[in-house]
Amino acid sequence: MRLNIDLLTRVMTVADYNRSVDQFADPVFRFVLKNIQDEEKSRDVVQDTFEKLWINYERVDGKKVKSYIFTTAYHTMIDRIRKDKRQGDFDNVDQGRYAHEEQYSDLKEILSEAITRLPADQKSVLMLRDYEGYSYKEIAEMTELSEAQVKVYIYRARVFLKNYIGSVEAVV
Amino acid sequence: MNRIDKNNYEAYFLDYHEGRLNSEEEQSVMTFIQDNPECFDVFEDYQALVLPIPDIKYPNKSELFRTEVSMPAVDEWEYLCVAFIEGDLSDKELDNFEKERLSDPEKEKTLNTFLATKSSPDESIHYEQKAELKKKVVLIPRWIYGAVSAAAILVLGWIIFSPFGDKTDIPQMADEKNREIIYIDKLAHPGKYDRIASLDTKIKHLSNSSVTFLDNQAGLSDKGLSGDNPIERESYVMLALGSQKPITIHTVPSEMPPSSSVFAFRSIPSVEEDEYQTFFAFSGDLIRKQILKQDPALVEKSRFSLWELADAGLEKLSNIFGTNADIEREYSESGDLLAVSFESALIGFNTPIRKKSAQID
Repeated sequence: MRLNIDLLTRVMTVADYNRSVDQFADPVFRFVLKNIQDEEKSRDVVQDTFEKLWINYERVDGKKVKSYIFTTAYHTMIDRIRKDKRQGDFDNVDQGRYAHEEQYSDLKEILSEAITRLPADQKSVLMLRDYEGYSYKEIAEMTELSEAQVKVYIYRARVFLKNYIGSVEAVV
Repeated sequence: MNRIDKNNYEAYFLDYHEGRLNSEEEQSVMTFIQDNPECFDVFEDYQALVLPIPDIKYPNKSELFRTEVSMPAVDEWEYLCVAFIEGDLSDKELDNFEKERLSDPEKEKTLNTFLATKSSPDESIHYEQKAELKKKVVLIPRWIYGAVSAAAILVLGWIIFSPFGDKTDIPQMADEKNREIIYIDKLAHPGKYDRIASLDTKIKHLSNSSVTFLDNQAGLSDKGLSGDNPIERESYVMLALGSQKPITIHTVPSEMPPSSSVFAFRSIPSVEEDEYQTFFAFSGDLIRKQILKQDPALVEKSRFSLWELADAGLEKLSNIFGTNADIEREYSESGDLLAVSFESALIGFNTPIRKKSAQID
């Protein structure tokens, strides 16, 4: 017996596509905005992402549409960052960079500020983990990093955030 | 390498200038030149043959280096805290972790700070332009396709036979001729008529006069003509009306008898009997030439598609009503129809064409 692959993977319909706009436009926008801190560019990235989804919607497995959207958004965002030359060396984390003159009202605000100071790779990986709950393996597939790299980035990011929060609490 | 001598010194000179000789061999070259000064010019000539390496350096080399991603110097408790947050600890490790945490307030504090690093999305952020991302779909019920097909066929018929159409050059099918009608009564004064008889002629008998009808199959015969009597291809026809001189209508020019009574004759282009095999082939050719204005030399005579019919209908209607309407079709690289869009001043839609997946064999 020969099974057609289409029966095993459910391709998207236009209605599925529109549903995915409803479901994922907000989270992917948050993800991109938190990464690049530029609302207009974030909107462009989201628009490009869904445009790519629309072009390929008949080939996208309906069950993996969220991964497709976040993966596409991630790579579109990285391309933009590189194009704009906004990004420094991802691996050189200034762990001692805890200068904060801002006044913080709560821990969430401190954390939000700390996240903006993370290197782009660590920031993306951490947000995919915390915001969307992806596994190391899923994040590795999305970002084309190894699982070990993802793990290291998350560890470094957490240590950086912990130190940042700790130093702010000490000041406050 | 052999010792330098008069037979191999050129190879040595070249290697010397390219820097391939060791210090001992370079010294032997110098000694050879001293012993054989007439070879010095050759030595200098070879120097010109070796292009100097330009002193150009890639300016951004440092950006190309990669650093290996490795676990930084790890504080064991911090590592365990991260592993705890990420859910990476085994049951046994978790037990040990809990015991250690409860026994040391400093570790507990560190863990609490780590727990604060767990971020959550800011739900107040929304993408406001969602509506622009969505695609409109016009779902067309199946019966609409049938109705549109029927309408298209009606439009085609109207296009072909409507007075708006230019019929001057429209070829006719052999079995669908519009026959000119000659009324027998009017033949009473043939000299006054400059009528044209042809294969298209149809004879109508309007009076009770006797008529002699001759053709090459039935011979001379009197026919009480009634109704329509078409003149067929290659027939000799003689009409006699009362005492009037018989009137001959001849349809084969090369065999036309020298009769003054012959009507002016028009030879119409003969239509090959097998040129149009089917109504669809004929219609397709007609549409392609007359409406879509395609080059006949480039048009393959084949059954035309309903798309061509639709294109032709829209083209004709656009011309008549002075509006622009267009059907666009999107095909995949393999030639499969992916989507159809319709654009006009009044309505427009885009609908994907979905193929059913193959089934289980």
